[in-house]
Amino acid sequence: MKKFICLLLTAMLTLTCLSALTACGQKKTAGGELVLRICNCEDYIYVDEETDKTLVDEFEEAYEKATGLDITVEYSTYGTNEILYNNLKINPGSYDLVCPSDYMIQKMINENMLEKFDDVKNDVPNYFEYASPYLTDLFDENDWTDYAVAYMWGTMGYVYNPKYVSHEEASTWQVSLNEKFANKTTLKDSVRDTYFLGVALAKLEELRAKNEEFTKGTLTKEEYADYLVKAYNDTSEKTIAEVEKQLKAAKKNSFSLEVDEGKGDMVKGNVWLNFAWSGDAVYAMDDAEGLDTILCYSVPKEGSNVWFDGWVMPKGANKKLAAAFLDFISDPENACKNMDYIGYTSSIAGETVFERLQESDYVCDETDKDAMPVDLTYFFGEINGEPAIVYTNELNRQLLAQYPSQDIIARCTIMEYFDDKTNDRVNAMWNRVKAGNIWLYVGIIGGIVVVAAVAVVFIVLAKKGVFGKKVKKGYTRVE
Amino acid sequence: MKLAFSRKHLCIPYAVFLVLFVIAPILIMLYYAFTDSQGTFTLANFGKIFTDVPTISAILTSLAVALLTTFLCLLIGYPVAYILARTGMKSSSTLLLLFITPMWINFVLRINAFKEFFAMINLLDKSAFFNTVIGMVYDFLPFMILPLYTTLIKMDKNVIEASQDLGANKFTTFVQVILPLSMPGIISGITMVFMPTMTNYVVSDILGRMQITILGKLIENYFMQNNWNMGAAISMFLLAIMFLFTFFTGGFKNEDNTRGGGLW
Repeated sequence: MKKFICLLLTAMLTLTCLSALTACGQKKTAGGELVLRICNCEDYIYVDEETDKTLVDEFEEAYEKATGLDITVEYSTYGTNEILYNNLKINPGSYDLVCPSDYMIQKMINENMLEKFDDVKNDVPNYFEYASPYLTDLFDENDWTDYAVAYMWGTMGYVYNPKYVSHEEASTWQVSLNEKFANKTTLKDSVRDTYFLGVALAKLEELRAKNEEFTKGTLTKEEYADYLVKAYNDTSEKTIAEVEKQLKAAKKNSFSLEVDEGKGDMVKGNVWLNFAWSGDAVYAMDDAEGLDTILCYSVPKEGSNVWFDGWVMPKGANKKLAAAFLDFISDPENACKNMDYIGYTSSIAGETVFERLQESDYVCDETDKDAMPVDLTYFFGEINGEPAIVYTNELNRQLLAQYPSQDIIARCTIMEYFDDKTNDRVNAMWNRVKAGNIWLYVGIIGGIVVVAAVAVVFIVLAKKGVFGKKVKKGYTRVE
Repeated sequence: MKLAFSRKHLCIPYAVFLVLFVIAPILIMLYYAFTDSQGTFTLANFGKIFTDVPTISAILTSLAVALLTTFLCLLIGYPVAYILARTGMKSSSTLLLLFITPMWINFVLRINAFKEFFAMINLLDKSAFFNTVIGMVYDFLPFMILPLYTTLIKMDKNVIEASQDLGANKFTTFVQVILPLSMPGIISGITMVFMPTMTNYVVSDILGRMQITILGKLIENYFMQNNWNMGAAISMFLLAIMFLFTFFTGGFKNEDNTRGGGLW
């Protein structure tokens, strides 16, 4: 009997192991209740700091209240766009709603991995009422509206410490190569973003010339925008080779390659200049204020990237439920909560969001000394028939990081996705940039081998008694 | 039918574990290493290891980091272990404990703390390579000291006394007697430091600020770039290096097992 129990236990242990393995990735449908599977970026949704309740929990409650139906949201997070993409390729149909970045959305649309919104469009009234006209127009222009709704957006630029870096210096991408700031700049360990910087460095003169033409008025807004999107998404052999050269120099001049650490290094003063996403910039500036440090943000004059993350439904998604969730988070109240918590800029505009902005510390009174107007009508549309204008006395801080002015927007362009072949070429280039100086390491290894060889020879000689006093045979030494 | 249960059956869970978590992953890795992204057989991945600049650079960087770390650990670790084992101090076990205690704290935390310390003494923005080596030495020193300490403390004192009786001075005793007898400890210490430092990219990421790419990081890069084939090929290459290293240092022999030095 005892033996039998032992055997049974062994068998059970094995079975649990096996079933635990196979259970991963399977969809729970216990009791026929509704299940919505969401995959979002890490730290990318509101969490109530006291109750630990997320916006997802609030959605479950609201949905049950509204429809009387039980719903469970299986919320998971992903590390990088590429990991999310791999997941969807390996396990098609494992999510109802995911939130990748702009270039990944384009790739997914192109590979026919996404459901269209058409028949559930009317289930997301909040989004279509409150989303910023700037973003909906951008989506229309690029034919993304059928597949995606915008979530957060922003620009790329530099967070800089005005104690060491002037605004003038931080207003050009060239600062990444400036030897004055050797070991005090950073690069992103994200090939797509750093490639953008590399292109800017490779085409610096041309980009500057075009920007001047545009400010003089010899180039129309549309012509300039067309030029920018082509220039920044150029992947010709020649450009890639030049980008490699520039990035190698920039890496040599930099303190670190990072994704998250830059914010902290900036606040602590380890670096003076951080190539950053605007959302992280706001976070760093807020954080630094608590330590009585002033940090600023600038978008270089040669033009930059306007990025966004959006919600898409992979093939086989439960569209009805996904739409209900999107409608819930597109509610301006909830969008504000998200913005307050994450620090990034929501795609939702409208009166509530505008009021929140006007009450924030980032803006000042119209009557203040040095108050300068920033026209955000392009983003918010008209508020109560009036242009959406806010006042600030700091043009290079949180306000313009969160809501770039029209001048900044005019010189920002989107990232396009690369096809697999181009991707391989760019990745190979990036790997070469990250590689070290081979001869230096050959030298170091050679040095160590020589030292080790000398040590071994010394020990062998010592063993043979070359160094020690020889003891005469046949005698014992008495001390 | 009577159910025959023998002790052999207790091995079943381990066998299942080994098949699922050791053998199956290696087979999957082999598959990816010998195929291209379309799934057709190829040797190009291994060819690329010896021709591709980033891979060669990562191999050399790893070797440089690992060799220098091992060398410094031995240089610092041997005298420490020797003093701890030989002086017969009452407090030697307490001292040993002090060397081991840091290992009870997660090394990512320790390396991050080290980063702050480096920033404080203005070393952080200096050489990424030497920062990494210093971090590695700090991290792996106990792995060198412990096997050495175990071998030295187990050493028969009579042998040393015999050597002295026969007229050898301290230097000769050390070179002729103590050093050869502590060889198993040295080899075991070298193995335990050299192999993990080839791939421990947490240290090079934090203290080297991702400025240097060692093999572990390169494998991660390839997986992040969705190139599983190249990642798997480099992993197999690394596995082969480890195997050869273990083979030549006698790691597969059973006798006189000081490996781990009572750490595990």
